[in-house]
Amino acid sequence: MGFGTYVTARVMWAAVVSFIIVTITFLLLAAAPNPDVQRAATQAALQGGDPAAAAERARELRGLNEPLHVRYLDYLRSVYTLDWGWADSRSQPVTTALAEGLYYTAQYSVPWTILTILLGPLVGVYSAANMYSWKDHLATGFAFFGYAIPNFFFGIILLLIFGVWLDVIPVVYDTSVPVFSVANAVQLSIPVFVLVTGSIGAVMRVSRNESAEFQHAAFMKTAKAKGVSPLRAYAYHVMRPTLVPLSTTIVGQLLALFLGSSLLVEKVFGIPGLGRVTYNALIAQDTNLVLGATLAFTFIAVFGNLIEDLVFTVLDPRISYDDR
Amino acid sequence: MTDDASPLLAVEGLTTTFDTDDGQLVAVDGIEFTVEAGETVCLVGESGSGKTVATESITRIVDSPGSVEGSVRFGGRDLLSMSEPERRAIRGYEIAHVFQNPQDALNHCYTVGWQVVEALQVHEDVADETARSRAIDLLDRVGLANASTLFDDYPHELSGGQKQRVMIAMALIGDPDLLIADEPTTALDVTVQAQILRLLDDLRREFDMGILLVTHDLGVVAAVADRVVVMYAGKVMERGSVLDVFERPAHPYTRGLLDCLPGVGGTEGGIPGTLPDPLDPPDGCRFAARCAYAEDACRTGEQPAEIKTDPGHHASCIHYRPDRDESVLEDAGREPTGSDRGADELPNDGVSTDD
Amino acid sequence: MSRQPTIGSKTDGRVSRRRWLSALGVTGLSALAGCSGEEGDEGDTDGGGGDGGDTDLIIGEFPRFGVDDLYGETVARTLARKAFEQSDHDYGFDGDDMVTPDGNQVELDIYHSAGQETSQLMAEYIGQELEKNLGIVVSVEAIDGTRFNNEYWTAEPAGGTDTVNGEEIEWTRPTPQNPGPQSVASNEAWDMSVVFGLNTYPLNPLTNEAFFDGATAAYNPVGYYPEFDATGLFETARQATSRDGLREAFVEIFENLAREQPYIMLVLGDDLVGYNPELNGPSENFSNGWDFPAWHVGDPTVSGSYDTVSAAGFSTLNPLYNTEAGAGTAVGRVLDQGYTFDDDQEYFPLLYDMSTENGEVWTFDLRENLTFSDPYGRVTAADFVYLVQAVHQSDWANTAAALSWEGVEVERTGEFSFQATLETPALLWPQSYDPLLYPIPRALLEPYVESEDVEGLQQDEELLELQFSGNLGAFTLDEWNRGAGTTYTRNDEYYLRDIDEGPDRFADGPFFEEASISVVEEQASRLGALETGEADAAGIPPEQFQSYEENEDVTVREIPTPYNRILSVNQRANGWQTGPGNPFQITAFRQALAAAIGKKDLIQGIYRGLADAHFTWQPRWSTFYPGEE
Repeated sequence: MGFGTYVTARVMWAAVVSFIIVTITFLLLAAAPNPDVQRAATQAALQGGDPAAAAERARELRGLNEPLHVRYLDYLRSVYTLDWGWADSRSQPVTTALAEGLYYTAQYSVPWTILTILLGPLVGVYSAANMYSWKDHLATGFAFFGYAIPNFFFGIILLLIFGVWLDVIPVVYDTSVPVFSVANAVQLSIPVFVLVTGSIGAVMRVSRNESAEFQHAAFMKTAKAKGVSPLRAYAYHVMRPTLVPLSTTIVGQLLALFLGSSLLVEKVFGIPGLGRVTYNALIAQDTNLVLGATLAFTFIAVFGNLIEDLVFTVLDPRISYDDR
Repeated sequence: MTDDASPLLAVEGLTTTFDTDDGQLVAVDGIEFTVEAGETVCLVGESGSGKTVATESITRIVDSPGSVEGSVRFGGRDLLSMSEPERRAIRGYEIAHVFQNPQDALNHCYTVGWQVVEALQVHEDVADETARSRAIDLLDRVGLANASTLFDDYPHELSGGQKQRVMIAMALIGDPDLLIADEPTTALDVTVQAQILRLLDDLRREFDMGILLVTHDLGVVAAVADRVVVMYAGKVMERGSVLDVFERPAHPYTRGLLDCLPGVGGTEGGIPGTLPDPLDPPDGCRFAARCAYAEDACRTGEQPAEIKTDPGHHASCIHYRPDRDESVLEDAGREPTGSDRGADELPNDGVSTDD
Repeated sequence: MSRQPTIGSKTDGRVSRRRWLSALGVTGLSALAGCSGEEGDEGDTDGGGGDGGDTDLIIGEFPRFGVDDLYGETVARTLARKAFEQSDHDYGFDGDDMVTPDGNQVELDIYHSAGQETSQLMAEYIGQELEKNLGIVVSVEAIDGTRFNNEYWTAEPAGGTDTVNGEEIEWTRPTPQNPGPQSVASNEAWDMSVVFGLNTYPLNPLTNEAFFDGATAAYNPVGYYPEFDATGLFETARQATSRDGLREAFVEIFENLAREQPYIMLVLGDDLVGYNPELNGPSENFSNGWDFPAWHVGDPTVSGSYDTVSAAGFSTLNPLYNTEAGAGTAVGRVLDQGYTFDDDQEYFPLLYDMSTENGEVWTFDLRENLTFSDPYGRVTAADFVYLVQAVHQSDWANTAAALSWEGVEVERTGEFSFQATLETPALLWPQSYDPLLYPIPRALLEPYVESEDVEGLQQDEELLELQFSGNLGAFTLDEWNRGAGTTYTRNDEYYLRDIDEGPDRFADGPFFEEASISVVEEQASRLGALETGEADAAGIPPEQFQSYEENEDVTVREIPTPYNRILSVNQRANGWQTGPGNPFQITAFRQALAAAIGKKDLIQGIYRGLADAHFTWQPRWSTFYPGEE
């Protein structure tokens, strides 16, 4: 199987997975009592009306009295035409809410991801190259510090130092500055720093330990005998094989951090990103928005895993397309 | 670039030590030998006698040594005293290496072509296309079929013999003056071993380069070597032309080794005993403990200085001192080994494919 | 007049107040002869002295438990002994300890909100005071507020009948918060709690009917049976046709509540707000902010930006559907409502003035210089009447104000006037906030009214983005970024500049070129923004009051609130788990508790002085607070 066929197969598989998740979501929703119907019934009861009739009216209004397969097709059409409904907790369409959140999330997660992917392996390989020296210990200490300290706490501390005491960054996130501007870079610097320290630790450790294996590999001696400089040897011959196991770590880690960490950091720094959109939707029991966010994260996760699979095969030619 | 007057490679007093937790390990202890342009010198000895460390010390690619001392003169320049970047310019360009195990010697993440080309492009500013065609030529020359498609294959898609041919191509792409081949056939199937050795010999002639071949297979030595250096426990026991050494082995150790050759007769099953502890080498001759002719004098002082037994033939054994009678060594009554019969045994079926 | 209260007790039915007091063995009858007032306005928390108590126990018409003469061991124990005399069970004191009929020391539990420092400190303080002054052992328990509400505070509505003040009373409409008589109790037993505080509704105390309108009041989780004619007094207040009549009825109610301590009233907390020190305008008043258009930084010239922070985003800015205070502020920058209350808590007309003869028929007089944005034109009475009749009073729109207009008859009486007729007269109708209307153009509403399209109305872009606001607000809305907040530009046409009432500064207001409300969910970040001057105002947590008061970049204001902190004692069947009977049901015992808890130390020690002593169900600045006569 060639690479092109492989990619096609993976993409199709990703589509199938997302479709299965979408379907499961529908079944869960169909099985759960609809809060709107309950609300209508409660209200009717409070006002002395007939709760059953009110519930029936509410069901009718929302098309819930249709047969299951009709509702399912309707639901599928809505999902895939991006007709995700109205987000009551924000008074805007769900897709707009998610797009707005993504717009702000992307502004810090793109530099965050790039820095993590670039710096993590670099520092890790550097650490391995100088294993057990003070440089290694410093890098290791930094990795564990970033890994151990809670992001939101670290964020608040840095915000106090740089925002309040030194007053070099704004405390209130300003959405009105252009994306590509110095002001935006300044206000995003601390959140990105906090996130990078949080995520880089694991990447550094994995790459340090993986590359420790490769830097003593026979092909490193070959490279040396060829007259390859140490820098080039590390950059090409150690880094590349290290990236193979690392790509799994990175994608998994970033996806996990995407929701958890980013929410706390968004809260601390007041960035109106996807994490806060989702969290507030949950708090406000905004069913449409929660569903939309779930779907969005499903697609992101499926896409992330797809990328991981593809990167994996590109990085490690030994992995056969047929086996995975 | 080589001075006709001086040898291509002259190693003198080369000493390589490692710092271990148990103390200082002297892996190579003051060895001396030369390689002339265009000739094949074989470095023989048991496993652990320091052959590999000795060859890797020449261009200092040995892994984290405690120290590498002595003098390694290559074309008149001292490789040990020059800076690392200067040495780097020589590695893979003037002195190339081929290693024992081709399975791990290639990086699994890159195509073989990429890795061959890298060996050239780190030294010469060659355009990608030129480098590619040169590499394909060379891959073809080392006997790999479909060189142009194989160029884009990954190492895991190749057999062991093919990989070793790739390693040889990689070594040759810089047109080196000296090729150091460290047991290049050990890891390979017997049928392939001979092909590789024949290839090396052909290439030596074609590229007019010196080869320093590390082996513990005296059959190989007999087949390809011009001269032989016998090492034992980090010391050179005997060196000389292949005829001298095979016909008139001087050192008891060499004789022991030759006795081990199957079909040559003598005591099959090897020399009794084991290598001395490299962390705590014995006084006197390193081989004394296993030597049938050892005397008390063999067990004191340093390893005996080399003594010329024939022109160009040296041995490190006190029995050759002028005041000694070397004939005691003949007591065993063994016959000197015959000719370089190994050469006749080399298969003649060419080197086109391995599998 | 019927304002003479009827004091009952369970043992002897109806008795007069005099008899009730004498039954307690109170010697200070002379004080009663003067009909209260002996403590007058001096009854402040810093009156000095604690345990002044001896046998001369004076409980006036408006007792202030927990301070001065009505605080301390002697008073508390005297009151407790009186309570025991009325009890069917043989409680008493054994040395310092309060003991049950079995001779065991009385042990009670007290619940506080888990994770809330103030709540926990208060519970611990109450425990110490009750141990010291009444010899009761108190065990302090933390509990999650939601859990307490579901398992302890509320119960399955069961209904039932009971004799209250000698009258047969039936619980015809039981609620989870008042499931029935004292015999109906929650799943989980509990003795005392500081988990919840309640609103005292100072502007419109009639709302307190919900708590105290007889034993069957809508909200009575503790099972309190008033011993005065609460129902009658609230009825009097509801029917009152003059301010004086209203005040008399309320004073009567609040004096009785002070005596009966249905909940042991402890303190009324202040809101702490930090401001930009150069900002002129903020006042330590319940109505703080009503004159915002006159606020300014430094000289009263138009400059700069007024930036505030909000802890939460807004779910909607649609004035018809918003129910959140924060979003109300965000809408208020752009759109004035009908009226507000000034520093004296008096009605101040914004869009319209309201007047009435008897509280039944109210006349709304609109200002004539109000306009919507194009194309909607002038604001007229027709817009308001249409809004009320076709939207608020419709059966499909279900707006936030729908309940406020139930049963109100609205009628246009002129281009700029309309009148509303209430089912029952209400002199404090404006104070209930019910007749508070946003101006919404009729033409904007009409399409939705015709199709009865509630979703369309909720999601209407013009309503959500307040694009019709014309000259009706101090600012115009530039952008509502759902996650980040709102930004505004000064409205140069603001109608308020041309009115006659109010401060002179209104003529040039507002004094800011721009305004913004930023959503900052993290408290530390909000405070940081205040310190660096990025925000001009932000709430301050009590524990950081000290540090901000010393901070010259911030001016802290203590803004009184109507929210109280109370000790709730469970007068239902599952209260008082330590022994037989339930002394919490006896007024004198609740008085003993109130007298045993020192308010001065509570305020200084736990609230750092940032609270007022709470004696009855009104803050001291309320017009209906007793004891000012």
